[in-house]
Amino acid sequence: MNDQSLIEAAATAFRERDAATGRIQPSPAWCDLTPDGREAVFRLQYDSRLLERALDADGLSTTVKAVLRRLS
Amino acid sequence: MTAIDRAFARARRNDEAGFTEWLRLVELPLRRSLARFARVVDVEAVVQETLLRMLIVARDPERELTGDNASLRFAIGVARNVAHEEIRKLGHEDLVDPADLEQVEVDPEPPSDRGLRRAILACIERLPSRPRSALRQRLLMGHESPDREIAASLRMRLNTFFQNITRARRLLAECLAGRGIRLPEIPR
Repeated sequence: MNDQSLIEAAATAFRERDAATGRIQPSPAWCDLTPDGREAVFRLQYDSRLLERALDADGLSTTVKAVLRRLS
Repeated sequence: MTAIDRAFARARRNDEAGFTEWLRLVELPLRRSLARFARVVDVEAVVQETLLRMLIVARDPERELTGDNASLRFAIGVARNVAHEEIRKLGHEDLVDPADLEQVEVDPEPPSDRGLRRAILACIERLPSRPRSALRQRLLMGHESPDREIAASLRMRLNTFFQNITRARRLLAECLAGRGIRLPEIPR
């Protein structure tokens, strides 16, 4: 996978949870990126959440939906 | 009392809608507060872990948070702790400059913009079919499904799915720019 695909892969709000501790895990794609690539991920994550909030009727991003899903 | 304070007060009374509103209000300022960690931690994971931990804080009757936006300021502190835990776990201590981690201001949430929503929807409609499908499905299912499943539901290879989303984002940005709209940049 090239860097652009890794950056896009890490932009999703989907995250695995550690089975033992329950802790949210970093994206595997993020782990494969250089520091510059990770900066790009941060900006893309931010832009993605803005886009999602603008389009959602309740103004919720997929991050908020992911958190709520874990609570339900 | 701010909107964040009011939503957190509702969350403390086990009001689920109140907690949802609190999540909506604090997500972006919390995310921005982690900008200086972006090279050493996956900010998305830190934000989600922090928001989950804040539910425990909200439900703790012994916990008193005082002052405007106290819950947001507390969440930012929790997020930094979570980020430092990740840095230690990943062995990234040498990549962190302590001077970069000074307290940041909590800037207010910009008001929502109905015109922006209409423009984004119009521009998405103009996207070519496959980039539009890829972007839409990510927007709809990104919180609950891994990309490989979303790609499979669209009968796309994973790499093709990413290429389509990347193309959709570029065309969407161009379309919005043509309407004089740019998404707000992250304050640094």
